[in-house]
Amino acid sequence: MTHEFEALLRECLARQAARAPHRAFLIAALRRRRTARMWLPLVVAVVIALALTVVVSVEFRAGGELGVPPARRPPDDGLPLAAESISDHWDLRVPVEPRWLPSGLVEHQRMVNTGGTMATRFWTPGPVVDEAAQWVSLSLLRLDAEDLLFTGDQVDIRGSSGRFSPYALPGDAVLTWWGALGFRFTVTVHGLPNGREVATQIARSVESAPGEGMRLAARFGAIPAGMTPTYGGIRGASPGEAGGFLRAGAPDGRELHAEVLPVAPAELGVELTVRGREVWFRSGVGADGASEQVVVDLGGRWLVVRYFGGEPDAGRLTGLAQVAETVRFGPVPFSPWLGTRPE
Amino acid sequence: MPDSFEDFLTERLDSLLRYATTLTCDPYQAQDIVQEVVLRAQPKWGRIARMDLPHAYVKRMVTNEFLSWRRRRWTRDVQVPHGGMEDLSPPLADPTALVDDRAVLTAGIARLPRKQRVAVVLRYYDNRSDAEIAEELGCSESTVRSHISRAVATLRAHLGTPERLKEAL
Repeated sequence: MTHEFEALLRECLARQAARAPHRAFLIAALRRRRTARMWLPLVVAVVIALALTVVVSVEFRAGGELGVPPARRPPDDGLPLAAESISDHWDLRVPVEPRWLPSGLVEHQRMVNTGGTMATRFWTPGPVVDEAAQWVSLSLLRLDAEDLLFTGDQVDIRGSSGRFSPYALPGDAVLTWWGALGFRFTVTVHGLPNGREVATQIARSVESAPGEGMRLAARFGAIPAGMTPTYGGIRGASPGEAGGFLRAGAPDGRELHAEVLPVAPAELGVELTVRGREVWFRSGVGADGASEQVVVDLGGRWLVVRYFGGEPDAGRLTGLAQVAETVRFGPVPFSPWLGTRPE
Repeated sequence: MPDSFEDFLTERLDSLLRYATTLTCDPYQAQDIVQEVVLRAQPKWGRIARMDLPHAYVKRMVTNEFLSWRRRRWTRDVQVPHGGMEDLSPPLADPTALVDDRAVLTAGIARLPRKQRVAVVLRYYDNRSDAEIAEELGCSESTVRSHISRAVATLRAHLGTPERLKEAL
């Protein structure tokens, strides 16, 4: 073998290795698998966690550390925070649109990642995305031209070769295809009957739609150590109920969500006083999957901070309260697309 | 030696994912394989951690999972006829126009028989010796040399004109 050929072979393998999935995807998948395998112990754990929450909440109400001013507050070992503030603007223009969607679905959310390399739109039958039984998403992902090798059943998308992911979760159909040089499109159908047929019909109807620029100003202040902002976006049932949201994640799979809602979330938790302000705190895995939640009444709107950190830990209260205090959302741009569907 | 399974994942998960991706040539499949291995290794971590090289053991689990995984999945995967790909050329600019030797070679690696592919990856990505590869694959060193020799001959044959890429696909 010539030296040149060996060098080329080594380079190809190195480039192949560089396409490895991020560990965060695997950690998240492992968490789902472990949850599925160990549902019974989890139920027991949740019951214990809820009992602990009541005990801890009672202690807090009795005048514990919550009344201590920030400067004198003891270190919060439950959720160490990063000191660095992060500022971002989120360009939410997604220049594609499906001309066909299943009946009843309306657009509920648009989001982009921090690098601006991925944009996603969501349609649901109702106002909820995270816990919705049915939803459809369309993602636009910028990748290098070599990211072509993927397996799965093949389908024609108006002359382009689409592939169904063989690794989609049960009940999901994930269809990916190249729509233009350097962009990969993905349609995900969740919870709908005949998901593959639905995904194919949606994919074949996708057209470019320049749309108007739309920018959300939002930033995290303090966030848990090891986390970085991942996504920002807008969601809501209608333009009058639009709210911004931010997400951060860590390589080990932990996530942090911050969102402004027009109505209070269903699972408020226990009312406490933190730095003279009324907040609601919940520790224990709820329907949204979060291990902890802090809610602040902004006077007609509600700031919700959720932490997805595995085992519930009431000790994260002060850290999450600081996240809630320092997160900032600018005015939500007019979002006429909320609650609508393609004409 | 990592103290806990979480420490092990922190130190080694990225390299396992990269290794699995070179074997499978498919990030999705690589993720599934590593996921399976991690789920099976965790309950046995107490025993694995006492080994001299726990990471080498888990890496071999990835290799074995790849070999058996391919056998299991073979009946479920839909094979795309060569001609079918040509008939489905995209309406917009096709990224495969950016064909060069690396693209041809990458496609060729993806089509190597699985044991040849493991041998090539261990030799040229992991810099293992014949003896180490033989131990990993459970075969003789001469068999390893045969795997690599055949794989290299196949890959060299694919280098050439862009038309070769279509054959590889």
